[in-house]
Amino acid sequence: MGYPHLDTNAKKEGTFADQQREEEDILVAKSVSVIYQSSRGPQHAVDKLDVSVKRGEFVSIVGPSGCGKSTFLNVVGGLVSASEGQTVVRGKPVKGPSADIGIVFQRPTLLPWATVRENILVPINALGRSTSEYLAEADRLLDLVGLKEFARHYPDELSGGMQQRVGIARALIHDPSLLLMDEPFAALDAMTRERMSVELEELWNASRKTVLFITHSIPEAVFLSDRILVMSPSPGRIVHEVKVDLERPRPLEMMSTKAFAELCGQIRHLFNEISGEAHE
Amino acid sequence: MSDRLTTFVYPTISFIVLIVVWTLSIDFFNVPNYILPAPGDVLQQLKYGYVDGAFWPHFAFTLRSTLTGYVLGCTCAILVGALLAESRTFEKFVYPFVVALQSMPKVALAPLIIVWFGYGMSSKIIMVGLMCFFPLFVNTIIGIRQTDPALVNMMRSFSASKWLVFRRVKLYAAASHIFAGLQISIVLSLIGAVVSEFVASSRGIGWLIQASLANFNTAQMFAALCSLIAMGLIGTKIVQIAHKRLLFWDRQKDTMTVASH
Repeated sequence: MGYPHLDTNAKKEGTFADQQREEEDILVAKSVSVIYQSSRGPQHAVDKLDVSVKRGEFVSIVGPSGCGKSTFLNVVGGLVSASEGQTVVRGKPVKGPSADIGIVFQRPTLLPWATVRENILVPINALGRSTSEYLAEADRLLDLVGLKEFARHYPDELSGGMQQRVGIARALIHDPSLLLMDEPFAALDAMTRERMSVELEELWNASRKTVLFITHSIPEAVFLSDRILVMSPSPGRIVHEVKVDLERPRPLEMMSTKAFAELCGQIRHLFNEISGEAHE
Repeated sequence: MSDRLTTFVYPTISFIVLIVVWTLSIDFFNVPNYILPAPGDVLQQLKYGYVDGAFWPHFAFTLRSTLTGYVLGCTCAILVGALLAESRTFEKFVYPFVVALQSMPKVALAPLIIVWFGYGMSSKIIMVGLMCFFPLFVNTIIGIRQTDPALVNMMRSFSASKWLVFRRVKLYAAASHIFAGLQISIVLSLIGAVVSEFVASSRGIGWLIQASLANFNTAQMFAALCSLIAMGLIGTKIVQIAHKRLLFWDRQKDTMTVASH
């Protein structure tokens, strides 16, 4: 394989998952498939995915565009129903959107006619709770994402990075057990994107939320995650699991270390293998 | 300054030129008064109508029927439009009839409405309401249907009810289209009022125009037309100002006007 010193397990061996079974699983997805009916017959968007995420763990799913990683995230979020298999969040089977989950989308998707604070309180409205009880929490989160002075501003007065930070605060306002992030930095420019990764890592260190992060950027996944699931192109399957042992907190300089480069190289190598198989 | 120049000074110049050419050509071609009255005669009529007060009852009648019909028609259009955009079942039952009605020229209904609702103001109100209804109804549906699906999906992901999604997202998303419809409806409501006064009435600016025809009082006709222009302009301006004030997030984008007529 060429990377003997790194802890790599092909998913089917499952030794890593076995070791840590005693810890509480926030998310357990068992052989989840999503099948679309298309003109060429049934198409698998996601094929028998097994994913589990433990409390306080930051897990990324990395895969090429169109591999179904976002579809899987929508299944976990209760927005798309799986054709087969079962998804359980905090012991409850997912049947639709629930208060246990907060989603950060690829685009900020803020309401243009609502202030930053009102936008952050949207999940509270949606859950039918009283917003006045969450004002302090909204301000705390605004402070956490560095937007304290912007509470009364409207989204179009904010830069793309700032808007996405509002999106992150919004996903956290109802204190969900699981934070789902669907390529949250994909629409940002490269510089902002790096800075956002650092900020998210800091934020995660402070909160230790359970996160399932979707991305197609290998460095981003390595920088942020405890564990990376590598997904094959359609039909999407988890083909490898890579554990990231890098120390936290992770400063931006970590991206230029040898260990970081090796991990990225290892995952890139895995992708080459997959696409090699696909071409045969 | 240059803004002021384009909005006030230039139109004023064209207006003065028009009046001068108008006055001169009447003298030059010797046009009889009942074909084209001189600007002075029209001004005389306006003074007679609004300073001496002869037109006020007519103006008030038309304004009241137009406003009442406009408010009624627009309210119904927004409510029914929203219901239709949100309910597929309702759409299946109702939409084909709406399309059929829409393709008919509404003014053709004026005589029938007179038969049903009488010569008084209520027939005028119904006619105005009917004229306003369709463009705004269609715009409301288009506006709601054009809501960014990502926003709806976001709301859904946080367990929002259908009603909350409508109230917090779709209504705002449709607001720009609704205002475009409100603006078109101003002019259409005046058409409705005038036409139904043409058909049968004993008052109103439309009636005044017909009465002027009977007397070949073309100057009075022009004065009545000026009143209608004023109503239309002021109404449109009010809607525009309300649009700018209320839809602050929409300022950058130019208002897209979706006309159905």
